[in-house]
Amino acid sequence: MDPKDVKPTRMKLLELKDRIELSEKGHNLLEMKRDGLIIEFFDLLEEAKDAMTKLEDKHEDATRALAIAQAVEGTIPVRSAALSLENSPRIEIGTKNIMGVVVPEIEGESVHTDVSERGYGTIGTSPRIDTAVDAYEDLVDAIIAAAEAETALRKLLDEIEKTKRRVNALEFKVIPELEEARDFIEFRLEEQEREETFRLKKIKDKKEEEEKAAREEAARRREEAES
Amino acid sequence: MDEKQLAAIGPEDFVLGFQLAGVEEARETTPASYEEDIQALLDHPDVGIIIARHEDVASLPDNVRSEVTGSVDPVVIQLGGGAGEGLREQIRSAIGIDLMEE
Repeated sequence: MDPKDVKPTRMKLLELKDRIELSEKGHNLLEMKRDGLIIEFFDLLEEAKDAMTKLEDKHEDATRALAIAQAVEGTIPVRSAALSLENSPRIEIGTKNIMGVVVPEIEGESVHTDVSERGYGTIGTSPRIDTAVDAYEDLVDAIIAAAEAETALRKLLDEIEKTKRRVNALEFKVIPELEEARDFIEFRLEEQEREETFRLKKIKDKKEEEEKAAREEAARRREEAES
Repeated sequence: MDEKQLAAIGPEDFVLGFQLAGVEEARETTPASYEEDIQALLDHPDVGIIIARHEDVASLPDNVRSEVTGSVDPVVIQLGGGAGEGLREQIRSAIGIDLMEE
């Protein structure tokens, strides 16, 4: 907003002062929200870091175990074992609200199963396939554990970024522009006031001069009449 | 809380491991059909967690990627090189310091 585009009236000045007050209140509230979100973020950070480190390690282990199983046994026996599995991992998922940010809430039981419960015969498979299954079951457990913390962390970071942008926009653009427009109107109104005072003074001086001239004229006429 | 299942999406080698762990909704996909397939999983009412490769998610168009990374139900978990790097960068940008340093 260019301050030169603003009409320098008292009404506009009052309106601008209200908007500045509202913007400052909004700015303070958003700063408090940002600080609150950062506190929530730090509460979650360690948990998420641990979960993600475990996840990366388990993923590496599982990928290696699967590669070994495929290299030694071939792809078909591994696929055949995968197709004969009976237990499918299930989770309970809901949402919760952290300072207006919707984050997931996940509960899941361990998916780890005993070799005898897996659905494929122990004769038809090899220990390498069992090791790969174990590694992937561990990985799925780690995924269920990390999913809630990691997603909550990402959502909080998104909201912190958004709030930070809004705080900065108010602090460095909206409020300074409104203040500039307010100062411009105040300056113009003061200037108008000074011009008005000067104009009144000039009128008063002129009136006094006219009165003085009238009095002198009257005195002169009186003198002429007496003589 | 709703009871849901896990899903895995990616190339054959990636989803095979999760099939070994009992994940039924395992979608073998190609780069050409990836966007359509992950969108189908996001819309699947019975899927609670989608397991995907970071490099596949990173190759999605911006609007789809932000939908994928911002999804809460289902949650999308990314695995593989660079998955932690994205979060690290996000922390650096939002908080101003690298908090993922060991």
